[in-house]
Amino acid sequence: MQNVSPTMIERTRDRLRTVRKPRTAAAEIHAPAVKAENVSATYGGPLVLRRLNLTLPRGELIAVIGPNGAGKSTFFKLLSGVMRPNEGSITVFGEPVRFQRKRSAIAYVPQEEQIDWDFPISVWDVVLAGRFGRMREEGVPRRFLPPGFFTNGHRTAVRDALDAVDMLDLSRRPVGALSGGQKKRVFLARALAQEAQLLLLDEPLAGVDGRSAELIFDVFARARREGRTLVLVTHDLASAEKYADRIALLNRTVVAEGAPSSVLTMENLAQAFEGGFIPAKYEK
Amino acid sequence: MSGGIFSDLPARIGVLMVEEGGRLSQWGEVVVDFLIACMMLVVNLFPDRIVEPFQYPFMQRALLTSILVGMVCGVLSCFVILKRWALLGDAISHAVLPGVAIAYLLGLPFFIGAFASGALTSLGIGVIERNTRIKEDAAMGIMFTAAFALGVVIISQIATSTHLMHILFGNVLGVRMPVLQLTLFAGIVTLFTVFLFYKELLLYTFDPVQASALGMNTTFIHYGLMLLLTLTIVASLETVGIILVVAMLIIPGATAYLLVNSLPRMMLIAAAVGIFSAIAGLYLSFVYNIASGGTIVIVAAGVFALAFLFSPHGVLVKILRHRTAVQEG
Repeated sequence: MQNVSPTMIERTRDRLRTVRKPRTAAAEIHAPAVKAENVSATYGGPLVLRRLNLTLPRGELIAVIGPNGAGKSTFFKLLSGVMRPNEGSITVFGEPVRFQRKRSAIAYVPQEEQIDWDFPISVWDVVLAGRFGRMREEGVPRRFLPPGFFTNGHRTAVRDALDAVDMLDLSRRPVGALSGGQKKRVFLARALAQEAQLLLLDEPLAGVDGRSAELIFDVFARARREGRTLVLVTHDLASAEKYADRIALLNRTVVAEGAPSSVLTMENLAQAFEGGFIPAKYEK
Repeated sequence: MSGGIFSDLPARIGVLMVEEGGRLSQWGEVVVDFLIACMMLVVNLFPDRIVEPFQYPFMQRALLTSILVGMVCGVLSCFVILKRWALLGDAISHAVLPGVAIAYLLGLPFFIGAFASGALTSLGIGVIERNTRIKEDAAMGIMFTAAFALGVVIISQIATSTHLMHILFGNVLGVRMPVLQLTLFAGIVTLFTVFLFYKELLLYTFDPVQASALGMNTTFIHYGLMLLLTLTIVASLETVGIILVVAMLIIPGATAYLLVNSLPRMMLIAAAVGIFSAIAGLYLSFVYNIASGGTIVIVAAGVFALAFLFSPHGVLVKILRHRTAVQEG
């Protein structure tokens, strides 16, 4: 056992990784970020999503818009693996969702209401949790260790991510003590630290002050330049029109999808929102 | 004849279990004796007046059991608090009763029966909740009262009311070696599992959606945590009893929750509160000749009251802050 050097272990680990990967490499380069085919989903009652067909190309910022109960969050639940479709199939980068989840390819940035802000956890530890998937990839004895036992690479990733959202100074703060915008930035940092290729952002701009919003859009732009795909659910049509490469208008199924100017017509909006309330800030 | 092999398979397994069980309990005895010796080294540092009750072997066993229970309950109570599972803890602890009774009827160790009925009830709650429109709190109310009632009925048929009282309120002074060994085993399993799956448990309690997005099996974690809870409750049965164990699964965690802002520290403080209450409660109950389970819980509640008044998230600080704010404003 003595003559097994760390480099040997690393080399073996790398070899194990390359054995697993090539099968998928070709598919991953050309496959769209998300491809949903004939997806239906229900919580036991009526269908929340009805034969949804949606293809989202990689490397873009995509806004998902629709009225309450249109199935936007359900769509996210399917992508994060909380729910399975009752019918149809969803692939992420050409592979079933569960494979990509195991590879830390999918990150989730929650809505503010979904988190218990009294939870005893610091900014640093929240972002470190983004590395848990990578830590679990390290093989059997190590994957069971608590996060404190993981060093170097993981810590650097956390520091870089916190730096990217300008939260490094506050890394020892409890998350509950932050402002709305800072909270969003911390969870965005978690997705960055995870090195995810598909970022799911639930209302990333709700309750965010001007400076934080600017910073968040900067991070979005950089992530997109790095080839990552960002999907955000939002009620803010004005920002969506301004920043998104693509908009998907949802109401149980896809009402319209494509470039913002072609999707955000009064006709489409009326159809999606069924003549009901069309979000403020968007009156042409 | 192949039939012959299969027909005496149960007997063979039985023999094997008895042999292995015997070997395990020998080891268990050695470990327990060692732990008691270590514990007494520390205890003997205290003044004679305090040490005196712990000269009796039954008090030494009671002390070790209480410390184990206090520690394990303390660690798990953090998850109970953060997941808001206080009612679930109550439910499982009551649901354990019919298992104890049935195990007694079948001549099995009551530990196994209690674990089985506790686990079945917690699974049953999940089944009702997921498949009907009945919400979690009502599902728990149905399952645990029904199980508890079943337990009371069975026990009233087979045992004396002293037995029932011991199960309901604990009998730590009467703890014997096999029970102590099982408590030790359950404690080690629980602490080790929490250590190995700390990352999963943390992310599952904090942000289950992200846990799922990272490929963790949240259903597995959910039921795993429930099973750990059941195991701990069963292990605490003899010390504080079914009714009061839920206090040990809530109060230490709640106390620590008021004091710190990180989960590992919260677990440490909760374990310390659990251990302190167990030791102090046991000592006071001996000195004043009062019910030990109740005394342990009262001490824990006292510690919580101190934290409630004086902690950074406590009432006094809030009042002071309010006053200075009023004066300045």
